[in-house]
Amino acid sequence: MRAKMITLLSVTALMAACSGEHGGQLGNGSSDTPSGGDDTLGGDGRGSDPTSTPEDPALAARVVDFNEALRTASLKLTRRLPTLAQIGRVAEAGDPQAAYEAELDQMLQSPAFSQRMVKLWRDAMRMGGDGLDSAPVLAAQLMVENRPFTELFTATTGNCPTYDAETHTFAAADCASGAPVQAGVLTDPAVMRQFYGNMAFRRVRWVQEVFFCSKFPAEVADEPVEIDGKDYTSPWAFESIASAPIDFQDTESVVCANCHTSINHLAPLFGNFDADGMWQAGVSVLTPIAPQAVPTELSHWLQPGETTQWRKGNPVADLAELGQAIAGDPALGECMVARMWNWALSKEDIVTDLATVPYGVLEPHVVQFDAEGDLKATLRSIMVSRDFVSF
Amino acid sequence: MNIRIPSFMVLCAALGGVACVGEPPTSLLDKPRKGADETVGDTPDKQGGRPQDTVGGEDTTFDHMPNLGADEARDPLEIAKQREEEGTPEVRARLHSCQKLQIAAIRNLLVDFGVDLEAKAAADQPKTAGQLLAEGTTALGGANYAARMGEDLVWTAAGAARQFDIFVQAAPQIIAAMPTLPQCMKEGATEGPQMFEADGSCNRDAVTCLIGRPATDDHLAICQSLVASASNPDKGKSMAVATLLAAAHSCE
Repeated sequence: MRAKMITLLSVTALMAACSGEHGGQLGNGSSDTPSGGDDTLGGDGRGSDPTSTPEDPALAARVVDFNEALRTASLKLTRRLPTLAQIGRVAEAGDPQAAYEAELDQMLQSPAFSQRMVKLWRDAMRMGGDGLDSAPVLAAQLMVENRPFTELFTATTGNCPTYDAETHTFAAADCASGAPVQAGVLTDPAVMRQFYGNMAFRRVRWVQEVFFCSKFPAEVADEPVEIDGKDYTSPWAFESIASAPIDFQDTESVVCANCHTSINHLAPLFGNFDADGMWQAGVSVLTPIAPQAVPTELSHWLQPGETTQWRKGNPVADLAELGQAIAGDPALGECMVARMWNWALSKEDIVTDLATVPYGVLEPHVVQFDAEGDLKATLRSIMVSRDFVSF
Repeated sequence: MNIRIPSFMVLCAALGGVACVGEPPTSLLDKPRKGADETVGDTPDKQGGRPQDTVGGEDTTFDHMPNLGADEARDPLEIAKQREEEGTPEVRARLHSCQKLQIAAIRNLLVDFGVDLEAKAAADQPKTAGQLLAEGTTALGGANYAARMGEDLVWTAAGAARQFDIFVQAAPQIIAAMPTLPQCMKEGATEGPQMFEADGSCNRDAVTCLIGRPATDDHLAICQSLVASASNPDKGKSMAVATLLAAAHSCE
């Protein structure tokens, strides 16, 4: 009986939630629109510029609701509901937008925000706890302290900080992997341990998917070339990668080289980290061949004479140079801003769920990120945008 | 043109390290920004994007995990169908979607509403909200970093049901604690509202506090209706509180 009643009420609850969250009768848009619910925000200027493209009806139907925005921002940034006093301050304000922004700024300065950022990056980086927090903590620290986010790949000191959840404080610490150079998370032994795998491919994939928001293939030529009756789409020379002991030039099942031209020109940079994430004098990953895996050699990745590169045409001799190249790649900013956008607007994952975002939507925020390098400021600009405060 | 190019070069030299607008790209790192309609992230038609594209056969070493972690791969064609239903790329990007509450947020919410998460039920009694929360990490989509998986972003049916069960068990404590909760006190007040008035009607401020936004007449009507339709008033009040919480907080 209890179960049946709960099921029935769950359905009621979820139906109510759906209508409430998206402009139905609950929460907004009804006869008694909550205080703060106007549509006066300048936002992107749509609706006031006669030359602009008419807005899609689904977008035009939204109303600005700063109290709804306060609730969402509070749950996102602090993982707490706004208090009745906070709700009242926005609902009863003469200028609800200013009142909302004042509350937002307080939340962005709160200790709970620091803790939330650590968790956000734990989930995005797929690592945490059990000695695996240094990389998420570095990303959180850079955001909380308004530092250039590109330090995530370029920091030569303090790249393995710790976070005390009781005092909400960050403590600087250097990574101790033994690597000859330091480059933010790229030389973090916890990252190298968590993403250890054959031929260091998983480490390369981690960089690509977490920070560039797409799976391999990462590079596409202007025109594909036909090889063995199949499309070869990479801009690299097909023969630039190894053909033994693993034949990366194989085309039987798929064209391996479409992805592995990019991957194999990066993986050697990560090859000296062993299974514990510690840097060794020689390559310390394995090549998976039958009947038994063997230690990887440079020739297992690349043909003689080939060098490590970040994308075709950008040689990088070591992880420090790789970090600089990644930091200078405009696609990094696009991905980081897209991740912030998707999180703020409650989207699914940009890689596994293909929750893509048109660049035109992100552009003002990407421009800001490029200029300031401050991902927290970018997040704030997203959370005061017309899209975020409209429901 | 013959004049402009040398002038351009002189200017570049004069500006030293400052990048010159219009300078031809020297590497991929100077590549132009995407067009407004281009997307950040992979589209469903990307080469090699289907789960079967990463699985090899017996005669090949080609066999890759579809994702970085152990999470199940989704078929891009199914995703494409879902995206199509959601609207154009711009519309679906600019509208709020629905992420579930983080487990930590559920915990904070319960604590702020006066729920004792350490309380344990007697053996013959239903589990407390704290027990349901502590034992429900998997159903609620908790992270599994050992398998390189972060906390889920959206609900599963099991997770949504578990959250509702937690709210049902927490409701009596929330009703009792409401007047003492700093979370539910107005600016400068030293006491919060009663959840229900003496005549059994729902208090607007209390509902506002529960749902995290100003309560409308519709919220109050639903609250009243749930109280009235139960087999007895106490059960009705608990169900009203649990339902308002579940409805309001099915999404962040």
